Amino acid sequence: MDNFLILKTLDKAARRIENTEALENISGDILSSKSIVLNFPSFMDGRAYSQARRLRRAGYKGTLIAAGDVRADQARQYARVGFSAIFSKNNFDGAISQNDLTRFTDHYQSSASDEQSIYHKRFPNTAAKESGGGAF
Amino acid sequence: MTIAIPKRPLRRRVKKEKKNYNLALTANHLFSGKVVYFTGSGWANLLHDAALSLDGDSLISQAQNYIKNESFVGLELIKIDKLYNQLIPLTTKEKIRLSGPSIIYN
Amino acid sequence: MYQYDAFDHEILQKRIEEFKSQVKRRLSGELSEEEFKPLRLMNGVYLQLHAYMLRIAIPYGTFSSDQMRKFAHIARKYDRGYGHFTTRQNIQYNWPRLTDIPTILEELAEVELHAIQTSGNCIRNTTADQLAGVAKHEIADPRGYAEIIRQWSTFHPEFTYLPRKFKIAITGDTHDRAAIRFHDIGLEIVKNKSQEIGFKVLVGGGLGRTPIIGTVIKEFLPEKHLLSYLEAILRAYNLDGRRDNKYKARIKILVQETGIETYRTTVEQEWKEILKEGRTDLPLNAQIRILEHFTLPKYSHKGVTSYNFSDFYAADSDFARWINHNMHDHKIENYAAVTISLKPLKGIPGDISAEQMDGIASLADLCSLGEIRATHEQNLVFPHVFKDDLPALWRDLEKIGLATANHGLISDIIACPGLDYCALANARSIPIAQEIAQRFDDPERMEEIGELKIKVSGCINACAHHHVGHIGILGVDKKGVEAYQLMLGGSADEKASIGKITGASFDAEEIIDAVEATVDLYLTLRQDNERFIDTYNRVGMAPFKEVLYG
Repeated sequence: MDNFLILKTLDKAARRIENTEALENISGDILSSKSIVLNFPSFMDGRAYSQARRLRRAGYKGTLIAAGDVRADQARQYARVGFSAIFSKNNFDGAISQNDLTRFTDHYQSSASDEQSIYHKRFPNTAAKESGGGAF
Repeated sequence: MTIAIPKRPLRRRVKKEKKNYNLALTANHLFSGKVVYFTGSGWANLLHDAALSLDGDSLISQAQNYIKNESFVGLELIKIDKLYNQLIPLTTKEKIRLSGPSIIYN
Repeated sequence: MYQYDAFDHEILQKRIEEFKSQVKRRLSGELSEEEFKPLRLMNGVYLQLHAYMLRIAIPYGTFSSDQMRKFAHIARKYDRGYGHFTTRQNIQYNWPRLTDIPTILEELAEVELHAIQTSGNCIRNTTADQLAGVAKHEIADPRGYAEIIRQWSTFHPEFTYLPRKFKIAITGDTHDRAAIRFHDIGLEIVKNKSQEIGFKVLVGGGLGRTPIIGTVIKEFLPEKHLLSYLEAILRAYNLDGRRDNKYKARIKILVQETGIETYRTTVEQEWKEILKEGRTDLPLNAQIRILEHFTLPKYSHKGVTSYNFSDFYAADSDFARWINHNMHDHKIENYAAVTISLKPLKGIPGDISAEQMDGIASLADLCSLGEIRATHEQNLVFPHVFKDDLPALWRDLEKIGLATANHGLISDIIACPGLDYCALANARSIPIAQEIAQRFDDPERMEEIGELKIKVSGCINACAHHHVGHIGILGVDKKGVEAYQLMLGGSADEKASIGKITGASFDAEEIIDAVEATVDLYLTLRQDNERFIDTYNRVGMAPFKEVLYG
């Protein structure tokens, strides 16, 4: 989460994927995109969280941008499902999102990045492969 | 930071009906949740002090001047019957809002 | 019972800090109401008709005497001296000030309680059989698995903005006391031929506008794959569930519209992917550590005993009546579980005063190993009572007005808060429940009628589960006046069924007469020891319609 970005402009070359696509099968074309934008038409519409999750699982390594009705109080969630950036035209409160990103040091689920879940920490000797707690 | 008035401040607007009702505007205080009524120049605890109007939209727009930082929430228009100078809400729901739960705990 | 470790405490503290800052930003105007509302809802804070309401989770319905004392303290200090137990193993306070809520949450955290995800479109409190761990014929205690789900679902980053709320219930017994067939996901602990523990998984049950009985999506899910399979169900729902219409957004509609076969295929595909990653299911040692919290306590009774159970039972007919209705068989010989009815005559279903809470806490320490359960029928249970302690317990409960011998009877009515408190309601529920209880006040008449479950909801959202009452009552709004529909033949247990509407609605007075006419007809029609629901299932709606509408 150290490199989580708040973008004021959007690279025109970024690939947009609508949130009606479940991304059950992800093409090599998508995986090789430099940056991908996923959309939150309303912040209550959480489909893009699962899309992000699937993209990262499929091995997507580029910049993953949350756009639309994104909010400072959700920054932690964006980061934990695999987003690496937020794009917002609104006056986005960076201090709030920074607090949100760093507030919790431990989680019951492993995140998209390789951070350790509470279950790793409860059992430090557990092999990574069986370290569970929600694949996030 | 300026606060935008939310697009839809009402839980539910009273549908326009043929008969014209006197309307009052109720809300809850943000800090305490207490029921208040719009007086035309502020908010009061008593329905007796409420401003009445046949035009609900105008009540709502007047009230916007008295909602600094949205310190009153859950705005709702209610139908009022005026009888011998007493204001009486028409629906059971509004009667209960006015006088509290109809059942009393012990 | 589960005991928090340092990680659990830390997470709770951070959450309180976060909510505190959100409330502060709202009060200062930095956050608009539109921005704040979903944030407060995610922490169980509603705005009702007269005031805020705070809903606190009692995970899988198990709590301690110390936690009960804290509920009493909160009722006294921040509310109006009482609390309300709901149908989903939560407790609600009806009058807190928004400005006090962060402090209330701090107080709750001291005893490992919280309001996390008690509202909002997220995974809610997982509910369980109130006799979990002690029921005589239980296959396994479901609460350890419910705790595993609680941890996994707490702040799950992907599943906080689902199409709609999501409720999971679990039972370890074939007799279903947790209404698992009417939850988004229902889990029943089963054993396979090799005697291994697993889950029968049901999906897409629910009440509300469109009552549907859950469908089996997996006959046997091995215990170790609980979380990966739940995650597959949730992910498929999050992506495919309808978001165009609030009333069609629950998973039951998705399952109905796509068909269980197609939905199952989607889930199984996703599940395979999750298993390949191998990061979701708990490692065995972590699972064991959680389950260990729920091993049977040591029953080495020293006790307060001053009576012989059998002698007292034979001598006191009031006590015998209480035992007959409120006592439940227990795994351990000479022990019992007992229902403490929160439906006294003239009471409010589920309500309990701070003094009664304190009384219950002391009695739980004295004769239930300090443990209490909340039930989805809005009652409490003492799960570990030495039988010879029951007479003394009963006498002490009488002193605080909580020895009502009506569990499962006509006056043990589930009622939602209704129009007396709730901004969504169309009609009042509580006065209807009170009137019915009053009408059937005579204990002998109640006993003659036998098991009869009445459930009264004040609106279509069905918080009181009216569709699955043997007799269900639904409040509707007729041009600002309260009216009530009558439903017959619902059942929430393993023989799940959805009640049918009798016909035109009744006004508040008529509905009480209608219930009485229905019950009187049942008494003339029943054969042998048939319960109301058995008679209804045998004779159908027609005779009841005849007596109600002529």
